[in-house]
Amino acid sequence: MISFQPTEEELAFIEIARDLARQKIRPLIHEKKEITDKYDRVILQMKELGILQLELPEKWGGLELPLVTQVQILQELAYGDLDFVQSLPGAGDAASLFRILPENERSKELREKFLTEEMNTVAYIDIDRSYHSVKTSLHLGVENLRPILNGKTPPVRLGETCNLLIIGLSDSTGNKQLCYVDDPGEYKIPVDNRLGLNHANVAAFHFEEVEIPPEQVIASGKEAEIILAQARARIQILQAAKEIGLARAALDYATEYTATRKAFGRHIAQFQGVSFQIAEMAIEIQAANHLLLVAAVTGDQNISQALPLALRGLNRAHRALRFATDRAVQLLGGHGYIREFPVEKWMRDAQAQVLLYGREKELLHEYGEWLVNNHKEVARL
Amino acid sequence: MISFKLSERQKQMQEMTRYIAEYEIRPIALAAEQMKRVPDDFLERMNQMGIHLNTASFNREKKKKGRKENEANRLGVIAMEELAWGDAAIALSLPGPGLGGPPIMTSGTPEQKERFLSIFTPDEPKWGAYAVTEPEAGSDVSGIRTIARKVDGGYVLNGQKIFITNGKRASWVVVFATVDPKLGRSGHRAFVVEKGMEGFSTPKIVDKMGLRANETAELVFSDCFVPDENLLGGEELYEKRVSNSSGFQVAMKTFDSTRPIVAAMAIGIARAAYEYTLDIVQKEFPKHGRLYSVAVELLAEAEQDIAASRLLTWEAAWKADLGLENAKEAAMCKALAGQMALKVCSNCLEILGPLGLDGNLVEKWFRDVKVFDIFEGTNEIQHLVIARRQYAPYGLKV
Ligand SMILES: Cc1cc2nc3c(=O)[nH]c(=O)nc-3n(C[C@H](O)[C@H](O)[C@H](O)COP(=O)(O)OP(=O)(O)OC[C@H]3O[C@@H](n4cnc5c(N)ncnc54)[C@H](O)[C@@H]3O)c2cc1C
Repeated sequence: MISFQPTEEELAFIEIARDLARQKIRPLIHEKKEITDKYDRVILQMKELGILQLELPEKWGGLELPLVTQVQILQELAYGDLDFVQSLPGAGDAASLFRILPENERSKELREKFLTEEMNTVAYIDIDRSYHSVKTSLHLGVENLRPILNGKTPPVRLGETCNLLIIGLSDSTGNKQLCYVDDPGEYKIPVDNRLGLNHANVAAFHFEEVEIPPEQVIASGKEAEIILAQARARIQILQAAKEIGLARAALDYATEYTATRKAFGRHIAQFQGVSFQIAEMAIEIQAANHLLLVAAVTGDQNISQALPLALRGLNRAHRALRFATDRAVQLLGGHGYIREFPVEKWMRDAQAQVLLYGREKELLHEYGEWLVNNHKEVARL
Repeated sequence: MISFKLSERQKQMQEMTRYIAEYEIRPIALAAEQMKRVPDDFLERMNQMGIHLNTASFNREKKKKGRKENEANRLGVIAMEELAWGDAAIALSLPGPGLGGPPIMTSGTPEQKERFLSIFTPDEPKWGAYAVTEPEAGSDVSGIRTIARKVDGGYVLNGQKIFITNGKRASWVVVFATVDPKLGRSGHRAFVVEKGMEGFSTPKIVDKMGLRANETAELVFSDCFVPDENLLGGEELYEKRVSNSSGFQVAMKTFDSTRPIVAAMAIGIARAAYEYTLDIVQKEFPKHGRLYSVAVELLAEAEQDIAASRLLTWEAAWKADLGLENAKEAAMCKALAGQMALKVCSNCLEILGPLGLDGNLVEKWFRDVKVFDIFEGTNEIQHLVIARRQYAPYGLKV
């Protein structure tokens, strides 16, 4: 039966996340991370609540929640601040990979490695899907049956702080490979990121003739291809959720501001040029939210059927996020441009987020090609 | 639990209406447009089959334990998307209470509900209609000038209504009038005016850009006597809630259930254009080059807009079924669907190029769909409704 009603359990999670976002995360926006330990305290609290482990499978120490539940929690958290959420330590996007890795010797070894330290941080990049502006130079050669990594990655979230780097890429014969690099710190190259998501620990990596021990190749060929595609869909859904959360924050902030600010003797909200933009933001965000929910619900039933829906969901979330954060700055006028107010940061964060997770138009084109090459049934979903 | 799975009843409704749309409605769409009317034998057949333009009910009561969940609004939007996919002008011409149904359902006395809604039987096709708009009052409903003067045993109506869907063929029309323009909204009353009442005439059918097979009529009331028993809800309704400007409220409340229906129809038209164009791109376009690239992008956007609008519409209908306040959601789905449907049709023509000129359904849909961004409240009015709800928590009226 068509319903938009969250379950009781989801409502309980949402409330916890909402409190955290509003009382703990939002106040940190203007704190300098380097000179405060407030960040660490909030992160510790989140870890204790299991919020860093929503997507991780139980065997990997996680809550293994359905996508639709996670989506609702992440929306609330990112409402506090997307940048903060993107900086959280732990499995990061790799959690989605762990969620679908088949149980075998190699995945077991990886799990043990992941679980050894108290708070391991993992960076993950699917090179072929990273929409690098020039064809990425990173490649995996095979010499005397030994895989060798050469070249550069584009900037990766959590690259700066990770102690495991998981890479999906094609080798020199065009076969997909999924491998990891232990303690990748020495290959790290800093990224001069002034745009946004400044706390998300973005870094790139440069490899020269780095040999990957065969046991660190987790999957190859068709198997790697399927794992990468499914992980990508899960990541897209979870990232889209965070984007909706930030977009809502921008909407609420701009609504409250325009409800109190006066010009020409009236509250500026009383000018339709202002209030209609607020209405438009609300529509865009709700539309993106619902497309995302469809992807999440479908993904929980069968992730391989959710691949195009996840693509669509993230594309629309990108659009809503860029639109809402830009409008929020606009509606605050000059104040919107000043760092004292959070909206300029959110606009920058939004743009950085879109760069990391796939250009809006590129996702749209990929989805369009899927539609043209497949069937028209999705139009009825 | 959040779910997008149709219930058994919803699935059956979708399948049945889809079948009718594809095999009964679509094949006569171009001919009906040419004739500017829907053939009588078709309407009779639909009526016998029970395929009505019934814009569902608004459930004001919370769900009682053990009672089956009300699905009427969800069923309504599912059905109307399919029927409008077949052809929106024909769908709007289907027999039934139409837009006049919701005010009778929400505000009619039990006797009025029985009297006015029981006429829709398989024996003979009949219609209801809903008349608010006047030459000088459309978006601003509070500005209506049709006067209702109290006389012994009833009211005498004088005034004019324009652009009334199915207004000429309707057996009855819910007409909004004012007992005194100076009273503003609290002076509004809703009457059920029946065909044949003395002083009530329908002198003109207007020609339109699209939806040509559907009748849009002008209504004139010259000293038209309407008995007390046709005052919607009876005197008590207005006495009870004078401060709440009840006649106006009846009109407004109607929108909460009709806007999702209108949105669903726009979605049906957009989907028709999208599917038609996708099919041509799949079969006839080269799979490379500039044109292909444009088509891929426009189709992806179209499909996404259609799905997003549908979900907003379902949400508004779901809330209505549960008896929850849904004015914001109803406005949201109408605003998005009305606008996106035109964009989709226009982009489909952009993809088709000169093909779209020659007796093509997509150009018809393009003409048909524009009004979905205008009637039942223009896009701007939907934005106003949404903005009002957005600012309400801050105590600001916009
Ligand atoms: C085919 C068709 C069928 C119809 N069927 C019916 C029917 O069955 N029953 C019925 O009662 N009516 C019906 N209508 C009328 C329809 O609902 C009105 O035309 C519509 O509500 C707009 O009113 P208007 O034409 O007076 O435009 P106006 O209200 O004059 O609007 C003109 C422009 O001003 C804008 N505007 C007005 N007020 C504001 C504001 N406060 N803020 C910002 N912008 C504003 C509008 O959005 C619009 O762009 C129908 C119309 C058509 C074309």
